Amino acid sequence: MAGRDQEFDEFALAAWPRLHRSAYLLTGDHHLSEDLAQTALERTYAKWRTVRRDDALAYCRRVLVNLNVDRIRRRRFFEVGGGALAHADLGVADVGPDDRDLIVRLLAELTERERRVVVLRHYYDLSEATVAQELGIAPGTVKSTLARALTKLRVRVDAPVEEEIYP
Amino acid sequence: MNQTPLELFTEDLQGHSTASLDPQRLAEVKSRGARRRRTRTALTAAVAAIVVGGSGAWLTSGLDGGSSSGRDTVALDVATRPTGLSDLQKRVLRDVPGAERISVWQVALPEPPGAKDPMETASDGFEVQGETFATGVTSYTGVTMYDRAAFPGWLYDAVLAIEEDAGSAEGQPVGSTDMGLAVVNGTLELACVSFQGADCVPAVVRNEDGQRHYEWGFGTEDFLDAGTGMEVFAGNAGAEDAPSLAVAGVPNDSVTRVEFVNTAGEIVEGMVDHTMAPGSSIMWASVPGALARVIAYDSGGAVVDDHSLRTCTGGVDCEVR
Repeated sequence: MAGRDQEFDEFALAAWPRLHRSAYLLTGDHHLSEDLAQTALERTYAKWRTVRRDDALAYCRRVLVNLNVDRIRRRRFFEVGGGALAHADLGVADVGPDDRDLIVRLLAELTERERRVVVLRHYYDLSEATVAQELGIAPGTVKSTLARALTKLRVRVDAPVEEEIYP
Repeated sequence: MNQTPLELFTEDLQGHSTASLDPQRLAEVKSRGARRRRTRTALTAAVAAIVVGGSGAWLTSGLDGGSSSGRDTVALDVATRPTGLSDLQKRVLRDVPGAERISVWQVALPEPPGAKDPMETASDGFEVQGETFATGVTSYTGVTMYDRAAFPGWLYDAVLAIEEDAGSAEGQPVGSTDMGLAVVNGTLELACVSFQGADCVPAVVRNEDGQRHYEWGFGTEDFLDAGTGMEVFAGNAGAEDAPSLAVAGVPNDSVTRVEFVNTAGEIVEGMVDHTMAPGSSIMWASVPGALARVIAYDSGGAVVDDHSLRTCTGGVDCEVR
């Protein structure tokens, strides 16, 4: 047991910075991101026997992403109930702009789905096919979502560089 | 060297995280993770009725939800079940008042009067809005979720020894429900649950002597969204397990009747509600054995949705909440 526990310890210690960072990118809130990352690890530990032989980080990442969907879902129900369905961006927690990194402020301009695709593709460096599989959507949807998101962010994928990158 | 905007963007995404997992948080992760597993196992070993998907969470968090792709995936990750009663279970049936056999391999015993799960927190900051719906399903937990003094010493120590032994072999603690000993800790209900003043969402709550505890919510991202199909949430009960709770939802309030079908072809007439999620139908039933299919009908007898479950292929695929 100690050996497997130690395996989990090593995994958790190694994965924490990435989980925490990705949760922060998704939520824009430091405290929330800690909670999400911790809960994702808890659930991974709960199923460690099942997932440890496979890709524990993939499992944990998926739990984290879904936890955030749940969080947003609760808010969405609230806003739908309040007749405010038009709200487009429900994902980033309400914190003052000065409290966020620039990158998080930029990501806040995206819809939650766009942000999720961007984080999985460009933070976790997953292929578009893997992102599609992980989110249960078509590869073409990933591609178009990414294109739309990067356009919003003014990140030109084909530009050679130096000048304006993104605001 | 010039970088492309995309490379710079990716670099900014990576950031310079100095976050580290401190030992105290790691210990908490493992403690809560072990507890979650025990609770989850207890729930899925239930007697009288319910979930899957954990998601969850939430419960599925004792339950896992159907995935948004294909919309017919349910986690049927059923571990190998014992095929009969152990000597310990037989002694429990003989010596613990109120204990009863609930399936070929499961024995339920009542929660000792006054016993408290020391890690349990009340209410968890949620509020039930509107009516609560009894499911007829009993909620279960493990013997060692309680203090040793709550049970006869021989029972607690035997369970603990098995758990530790199994833990050595399997790499993590194993709840007593894995060995077919389930402590009744309330009944499961459905209700619309609100967090932090937000509008409510359908969820499963546990009623223990009138005090309600949030268990899990439902849904993938587009659960009950217009144009989507049925999603099903059910426990990973096996064919030989006691009845468990199954819940389904469709974004259509025309459903007036629902049938839950298990892998043996047995049909259970479920309940339907349209108040927890207006415009939608929430359906549930206590299903014996493993759930295989859910069929929803309108008042004219036409099929609104016919949803078959399929076995998921692994932990990552199964985990939705």
